[in-house]
Amino acid sequence: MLAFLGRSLIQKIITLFFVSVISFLIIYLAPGEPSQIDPLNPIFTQEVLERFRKEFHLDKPLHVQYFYFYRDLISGKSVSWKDNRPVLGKIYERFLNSLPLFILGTLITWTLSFPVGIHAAIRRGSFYDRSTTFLAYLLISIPGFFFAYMLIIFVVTQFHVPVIGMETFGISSTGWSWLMDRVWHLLLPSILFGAGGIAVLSRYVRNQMLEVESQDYVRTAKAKGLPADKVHYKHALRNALLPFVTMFGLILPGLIGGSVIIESIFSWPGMGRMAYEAILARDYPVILTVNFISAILVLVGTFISDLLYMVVDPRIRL
Amino acid sequence: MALRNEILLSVHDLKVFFHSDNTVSRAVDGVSYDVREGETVCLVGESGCGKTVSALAILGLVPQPPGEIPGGEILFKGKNLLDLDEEALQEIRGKEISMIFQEPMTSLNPVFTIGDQIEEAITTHDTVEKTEAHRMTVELLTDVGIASPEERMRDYPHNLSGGQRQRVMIAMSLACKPDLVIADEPTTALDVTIQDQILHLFRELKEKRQMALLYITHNLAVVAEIADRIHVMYAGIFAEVGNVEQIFRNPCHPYTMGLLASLPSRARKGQPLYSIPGAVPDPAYKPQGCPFHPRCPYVQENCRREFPEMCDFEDHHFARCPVTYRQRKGS
Repeated sequence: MLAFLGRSLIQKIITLFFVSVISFLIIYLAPGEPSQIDPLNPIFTQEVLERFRKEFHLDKPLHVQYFYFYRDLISGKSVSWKDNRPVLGKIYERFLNSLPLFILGTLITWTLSFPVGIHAAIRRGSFYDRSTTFLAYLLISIPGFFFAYMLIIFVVTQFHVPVIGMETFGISSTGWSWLMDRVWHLLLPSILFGAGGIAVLSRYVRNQMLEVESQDYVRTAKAKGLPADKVHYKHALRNALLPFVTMFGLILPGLIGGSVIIESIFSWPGMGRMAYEAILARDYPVILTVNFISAILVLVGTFISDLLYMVVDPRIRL
Repeated sequence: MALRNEILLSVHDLKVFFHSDNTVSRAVDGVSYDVREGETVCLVGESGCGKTVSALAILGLVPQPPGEIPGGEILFKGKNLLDLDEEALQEIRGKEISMIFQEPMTSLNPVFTIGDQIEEAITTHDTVEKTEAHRMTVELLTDVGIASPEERMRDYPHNLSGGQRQRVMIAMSLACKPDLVIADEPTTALDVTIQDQILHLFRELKEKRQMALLYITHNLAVVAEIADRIHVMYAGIFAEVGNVEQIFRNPCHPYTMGLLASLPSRARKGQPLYSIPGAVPDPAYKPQGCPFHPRCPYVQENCRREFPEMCDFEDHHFARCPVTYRQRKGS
C-alpha cells in the first residue's frame, strides 16, 4: 500500500513536469505574442513594446522564460499581465463562483442518471426504455447553446425571473429575497449542466447494466431463488458500478473545462469563462496556471479513482 | 432399483422456441422424461442440441422474450412449474431444485466473498441466525472437500482455482438440501484430474443425501460412470432413451451408434478416429422427416419425409428409429 502511494506520487510528479513543459511550448507556439495584442494602438510605440517585453522576460530564451514562470507560480508571485492582480487570487475568486454551479450540476447528473439508466436496462425494450433513449439522444444532439436560449426565453417569459449572471445587477436586498435571487440564477445553468450530463451518463449506466445482467453470476443469483430486486440491485448493480468509480475521479477536472459554454451564455463569472477570456487576451500567466491546475486535478482525480477502485473491487490490489 | 422410487420430476412434451427476426429456432422440440427420487438422469448430446435450454426451462430461467414455451408441462411433485408465477418459482429455485452451471469461472459473483454467496443461498429460503448460517456454510464446504473452510469463506472467487470454484458452486447448490440438483456440464471447463474428483464428489454426495441428479453433458465417459438412465438428445428431441447397460451394449439409434463409435477408447491403433459426418442442424432450419437423416448411414426414403416414432426396443429402452427397429425385430 505504502509502496503504491510512493510510486504513484513519483509517477504523477514526473507526469506533471512533462505537462508543464508541453503546455508551455504549445502556448508559445501559438501565433501572436502578448505584446502584439493591439498593434494598431498608437500608445504601443516601439519603445513601449521593448519595455513591455523586457519587463515580462519575453526577450529571454524559452527555457529561461519557463524557469521564471514556474518559479513565480510556485512562490505564488505570478501576476496577470492584463490587470496585474495575483493569478492565484484571481483564480480562487472565480473558483468560488464556479463551485456552486459545478456541485449542483454534478449532483443533478449523478443522482438522476443512475435510476434512469438502471430502470431502462431492467425493462429493456419497454416504453420507458425507448422514451428515455429518445430523450437522451435528443439532449445529446441539440446544441447546448441553442437549448440554453430556448430555456432562457421560456423561463423569463413564463416566470418573469432574471437568469443572467450570478445575481440581479445592483441588487440591494438581503436575507431571504437575496437568497432566492441567487437560487434562481443558479438553477437554470445547473439544469443545463445536468441535462447534458444525464443524457450521456444514463446511456453509459444502461449499457453497463445490460452487460452485467447477461453475466453468468446473475443467472446463478436467479437460480438461487433470490427475489428480482436482489438480483438486480445487489448482484448486478454492484458489478455495473465498478467502471463509474473511474469516472467519478475524472469529474474533478470538469471544475474548469466543463462549463465554458454555459458560463459564457449565462455571463457567469466562473473559471471556465475566465480561462476563455485569458486566451483571448493572451494573458499567459492565467492560461498556464489554469492549465497547470487542470493537470493537477486530472492527476488527483485518477489517484482517487485508483484508491476507490481498490475499495470496491476485491480483484484489485495495488 | 431406481425405477421403483417415486417420480419427482416429470417432463411431458416440452417445447422451447426462440424467436429472432424472421425465424423460429425450435431449440427443444417435444421431450418427455421422468426423474425419480434419488436417481441420476443424464441428458447427452452435442453442443446446441437443446440440453441446457431444457434444463433452464425447469427453473423458469429461459429469457422470455426471445424465448417461448409453446407447449408441454413440467410436473415437479405434482405441480406444473410452467403455470407458476415468478414468486412461486423463487420459492422452488435453490430450495427444492438447484442448478450448477458450466462455467465455474464466471458463475460466481466476483465482488462478494464465497461465504457471503453461500450464506445468501441459505438465508434466502430459511430464517436462520447469522451464526447458524455460518456454521452450515462451513459444514457444506467441508462436505464438498474444501480444505480450511473458515479461511476460504473470506476469499473472493478470484482467489480460488477452477476446481475449488466448482466445489463452491456445488456447496451452494446443496445449501437448502434440494430434492433435485441440475448439473449443466459441471466438469466441462475443468481439466481431467479435477473432472474425476468432481465426479467422485457427485457420487459421494448423492449417496449421502439421497438427492436426484439431472446431469447434462456431452461426455459419454462421464455418463457411463454416473448415470442410472440416459437420454441421448439430438436437435431438440430424444434420439434414444435407456439405462447405461442398454445404451452402451445395445445402441439402437444410428446417432448413438455414431457417438459410441467416435469414442477414442474404441479406436484401433493407427486408424483415424471415427466421426459422424456433417454437423448438428441449425435449430431454425431443421431437415424434414427425421432430423438425423442427412448424417445417417442407414437412411431410407421414408426417413426424409416422415418424423420417426419412438420405438420400444426392450424393457424401458426406446429409440426414435423405425429402420433399426424393423431390422432388429426381423420383419
